Amino acid sequence: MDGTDRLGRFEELVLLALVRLRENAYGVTIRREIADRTGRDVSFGAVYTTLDRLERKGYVLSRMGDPTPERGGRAKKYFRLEAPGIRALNESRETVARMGGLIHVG
Amino acid sequence: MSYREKSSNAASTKLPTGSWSFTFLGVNGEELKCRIAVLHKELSRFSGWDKSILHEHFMHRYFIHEQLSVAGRFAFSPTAACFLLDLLLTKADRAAIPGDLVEEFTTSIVPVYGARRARLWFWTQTVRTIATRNPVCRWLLVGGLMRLVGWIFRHTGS
Repeated sequence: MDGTDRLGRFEELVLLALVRLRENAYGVTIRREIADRTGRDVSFGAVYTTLDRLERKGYVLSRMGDPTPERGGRAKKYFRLEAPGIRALNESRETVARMGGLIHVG
Repeated sequence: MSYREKSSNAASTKLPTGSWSFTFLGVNGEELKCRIAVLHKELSRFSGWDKSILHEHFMHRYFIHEQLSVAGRFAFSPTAACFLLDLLLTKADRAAIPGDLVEEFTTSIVPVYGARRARLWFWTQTVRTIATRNPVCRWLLVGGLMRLVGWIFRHTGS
């Protein structure tokens, strides 16, 4: 992986949410997962902007679901983590572990 | 549980009515089936175009009732905000993002915060979404920030 493909903090959070949600990963659940586990109030716009960027990098794949009435007849856009995304996530986490492994802060 | 009901009205004499397709997502599918059976009985007194209009009206009312029972109180997503989203988002975003907002509004925000604060939440999310997802707004925001930074540099440098 070259320097330009390094994951940002929020990208990493989105990818981790996709790992946890598996087949049920769409805008609402991804945003809820991040908000519940980090306490951050993120907008749908921010989530979708990040997902678009990850999709362009080939880390995630999207597909449209069926329209449902609880969503006003609009379809869900499901996201799935791809192999390059898993690799990037592992590398990112290993880098953080290498940097922080021998340091005890405080 | 979902229940899909489709019917076509071939007995129309005044206007072609086409076919109806309604989907219900309720807590109890059997109850919905019973309600629709009662509805059909009520509607059997009417015929043709009037029946079609009434059918649509009642179905809409029943669908709203289901939404309300999920939400726990009277609340509908702001129509103007939905219209703005449809108008200002790109085609790729038009289906998914407003749908996510409506779902979150109905299932999570209204039961916790109440209708008034939920509407405020919906509007806030609408503005934030348009600001980040609309290409023109994004260009204006970035352009505005660049101008601000330029202005600060000019004034602090002199």
